Amino acid sequence: MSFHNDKITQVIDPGPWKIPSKVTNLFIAIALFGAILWVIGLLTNPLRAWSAYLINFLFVYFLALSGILFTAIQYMTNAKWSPVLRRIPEGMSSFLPIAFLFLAIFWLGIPKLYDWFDGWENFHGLTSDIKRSKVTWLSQPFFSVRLLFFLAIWILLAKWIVANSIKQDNAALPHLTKFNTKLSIVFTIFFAISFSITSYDLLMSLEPNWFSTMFGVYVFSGLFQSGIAAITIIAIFARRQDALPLTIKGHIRDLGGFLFALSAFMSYIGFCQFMLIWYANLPEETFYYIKRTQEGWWFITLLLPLLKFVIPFVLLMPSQAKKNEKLLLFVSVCIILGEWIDIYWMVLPTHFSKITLPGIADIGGLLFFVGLFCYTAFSFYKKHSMVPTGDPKILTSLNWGA
Amino acid sequence: MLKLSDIIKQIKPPENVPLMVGVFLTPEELYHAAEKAMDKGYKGVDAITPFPIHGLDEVLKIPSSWLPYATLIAGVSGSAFMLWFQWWTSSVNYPLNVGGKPLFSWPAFAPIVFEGGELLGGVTTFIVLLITAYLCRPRALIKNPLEAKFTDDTFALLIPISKENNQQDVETFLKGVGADEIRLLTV
Amino acid sequence: MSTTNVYQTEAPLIQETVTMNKVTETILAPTERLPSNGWWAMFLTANGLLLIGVLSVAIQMWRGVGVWGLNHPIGWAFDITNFVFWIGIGHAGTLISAILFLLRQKWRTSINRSAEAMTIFAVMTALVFPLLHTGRPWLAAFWLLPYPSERLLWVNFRSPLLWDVFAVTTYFTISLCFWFTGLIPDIAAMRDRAKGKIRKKILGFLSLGWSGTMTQWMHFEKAYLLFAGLATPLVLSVHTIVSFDFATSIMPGWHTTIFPPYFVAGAIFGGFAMVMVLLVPMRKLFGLEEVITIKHLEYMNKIMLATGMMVTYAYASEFFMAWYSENQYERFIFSNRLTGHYWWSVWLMILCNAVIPQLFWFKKFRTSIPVMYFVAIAINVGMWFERFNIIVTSLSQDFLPANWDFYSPTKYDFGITIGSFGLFFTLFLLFVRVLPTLSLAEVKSILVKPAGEKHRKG
Repeated sequence: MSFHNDKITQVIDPGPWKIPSKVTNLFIAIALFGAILWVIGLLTNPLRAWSAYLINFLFVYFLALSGILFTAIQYMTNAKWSPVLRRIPEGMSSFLPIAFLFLAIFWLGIPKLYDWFDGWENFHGLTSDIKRSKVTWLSQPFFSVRLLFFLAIWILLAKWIVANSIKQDNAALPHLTKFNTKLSIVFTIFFAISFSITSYDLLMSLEPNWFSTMFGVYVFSGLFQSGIAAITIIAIFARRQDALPLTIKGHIRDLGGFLFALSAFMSYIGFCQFMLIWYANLPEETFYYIKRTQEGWWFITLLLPLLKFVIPFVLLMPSQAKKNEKLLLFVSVCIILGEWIDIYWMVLPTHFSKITLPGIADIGGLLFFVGLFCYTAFSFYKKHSMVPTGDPKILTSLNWGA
Repeated sequence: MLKLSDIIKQIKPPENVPLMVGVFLTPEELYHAAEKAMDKGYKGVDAITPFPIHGLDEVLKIPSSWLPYATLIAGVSGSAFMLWFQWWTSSVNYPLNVGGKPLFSWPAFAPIVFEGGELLGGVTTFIVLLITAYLCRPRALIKNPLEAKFTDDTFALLIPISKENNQQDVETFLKGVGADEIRLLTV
Repeated sequence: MSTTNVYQTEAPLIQETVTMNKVTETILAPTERLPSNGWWAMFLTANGLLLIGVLSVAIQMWRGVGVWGLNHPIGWAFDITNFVFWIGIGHAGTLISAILFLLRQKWRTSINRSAEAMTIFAVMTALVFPLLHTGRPWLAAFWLLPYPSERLLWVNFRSPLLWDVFAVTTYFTISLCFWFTGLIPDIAAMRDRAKGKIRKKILGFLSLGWSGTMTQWMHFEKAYLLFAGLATPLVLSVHTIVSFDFATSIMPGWHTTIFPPYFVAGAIFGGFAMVMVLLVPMRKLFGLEEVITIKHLEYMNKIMLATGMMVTYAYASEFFMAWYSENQYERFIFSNRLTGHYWWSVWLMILCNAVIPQLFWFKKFRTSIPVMYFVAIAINVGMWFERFNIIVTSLSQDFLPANWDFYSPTKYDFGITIGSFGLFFTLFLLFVRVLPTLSLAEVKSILVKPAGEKHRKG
């Protein structure tokens, strides 16, 4: 509580983020260069290249999804602090329509990565006389249709929410906030179910005999953590380049608080899943972790708690640290790197029992997808005002915890 | 950053010096009066409020608390002790194979390591709060120097009378900032 | 651009007419007058329930745990169900006081004190059950005192049951410290208003000599923040560790990795429902409608809706994974839950936890006291049966059909269950009589116009 009248009473529209076309062109160049590297990888080792495709596609797919999820959660909880930041996650979600194309392209690689895809003849259930569920659930048509269907619905809802939000910029349309709140509720509930299934399908079914009820929550917590890290990075850069008002320091500190809390949550989920499987010691579950702790893979496994938990948790513990932008940038980069390694760790040991370090295909895939992701997101920021000036809560948000 | 002198100051109870009390009816008035008092350069100014007023501690330049350090150290020690203790009981003092688990099975020890840190950290926070906030002091337990309205809806600025803070001077200052009531308090 | 006029101005949580002085008067009034007839009626009823529990326990102590309905495969039933139920109830208090504090949710200030008190009483009630469950707890003194290696063998630190001992005692201690820290300034306010000499003396000691200087407030706020920071992971850890009691085993229906977050969400869900059950009569009885408004209750209902959805998600993922995994034991236990011997209790749980809370999607129901009271009670019933289902259905029909048996509770099982409610309500009713049910300082800090008119000059 401060008793000085330094409240912001006028919303000043900073306009779109003035990004030189050089930068967006650079993103395209990076993507093209990455594509070339990946194709070289594909020619040398197709299995490895398609694994790299999956890893990097999921990496940016999750970032894009975290954008719309964050937006939806803010609408749903009627959050008063966040409207000023909202354009950032909205822009991240603008990658989703392109993701649809690349998810479809992935069908070229699916038969190589998912051993069950060409039929279940070679697979036995855990008990031979049990009614097979995987023959139905993991069958080519059902698998393909539901993955694309989920993404189509996400795109529809994301586009709708973002379009409503942008419409508010030029006209007083407070009812759209109410409507977006409803859409967000629909989105979040649908997302909880469909995202869990997507994670079971794309990641868990790589090991068709393995199962864990926590898996959806585990992948989700990684998605949310890396999403907040990406929002933090973009917010800090946007503020430095005057695309967002200087007063959002309090918001950036709060994002730091989220990063701190989510690092604890992520490690909690990861530890519980691991510990329960380790403790019960059932062979149908433990093989997943055994594969990932042998033949050198333990090295990658150890990086996960380090990057996703120890570094953010220890560095962000002091309250002053959450205000330190350089530190926040470092921690966010660690978290995003951790998320990439996490996906790498979930995908690769399935087919490569010996540790494989990132190769040409991984780097190519990473550059390609990250380049495309940045291009779509920054094109969005170039086109639309960075502050949703028409949001009914924008003044409260601008005055948040200065 | 925390200075050693601040820690000592927070452990040592305040000296019993006469206080000049200026009574205010709103937090705003108190806040502005506190700012002016600090501008005037009074030393050891404090306030009495029925609820914490954010930012007032910064205005009054009250050195920040060393509580977080105590909590952190206690928490880490609690965790470290429980980790050592579980290792010692399970692998050294009476090594016993339970369910084929390794003698030092860290995943199974993690919950108690966590709880040990929580317990010691939390209890330490409470005890250190009693020390730094001058609570549980025998004199204060028996006697409260002010009346009910100060824990209800009235605010007060306390300026200690000393060599630097002249009584006459303080009184005119409090009148100047519009105190509702001014009185001298000798503890 | 003419959008300026659409900017929302927030409606205050508490009406502008409520002054600081009014807050003090309203909250402290119940502790300064003789109890009303309504309070006596509730207190005596709670005492009656407690008496049933005491008698059941006395007979059990005399004759042994054989008076319960436990049998060979079912070694845990009402006792552990009640333990998990009450530990879960406690979670709402810490959630409101710690997590909502860190998230700077101002509406928590009107409900945190009573919810925290409820936490402490719920944990106390819960702690009775593991003790009773051991049959003759005093015999534990031989191997636990003075330190737990009296028979040269240490307790097994790899056992989740021991983790539970640490988790629950830590939770109780920290919650108590947290709660008492918050109470210090309020007890000081009571002390300053106290009329009687003895009352003044007792409250003076309990307030630890609080005088409300800014220095004290600064340390107090720091400690409060630290407690919130400590309590947030602690509250998650407690029900997580309770869930480990089940999930570390290999029992179908118990061993599943989603148990930790699922138990935590369920605990918050059930805990909020219990806060609602206590708060609605309390605000009526003590005339607190102005400080605990419908808006506060609506927020709580929204949290119940959200956590209810999480619990529903966990049910769904368990059933899905049982089917997907092609593991015959998992599949059997889950289809058996829906259609087997205990089908009614499983469907009751689904009805109460997954279906009835959906009423809260409608604002009309969220803000209607009878509806929210009904839903809150339904959730409590549902959450009790959730624990019962997990414990009993898995134990009764596990791997060996020759081992199967069913459980039927005896009157002593019902007796201790009823008694636990009696104990909990008795403690809570005593609390609302002697201590402020809302945090004075925190409610005052969110008032729109905190200064009282009565003192204003001119």
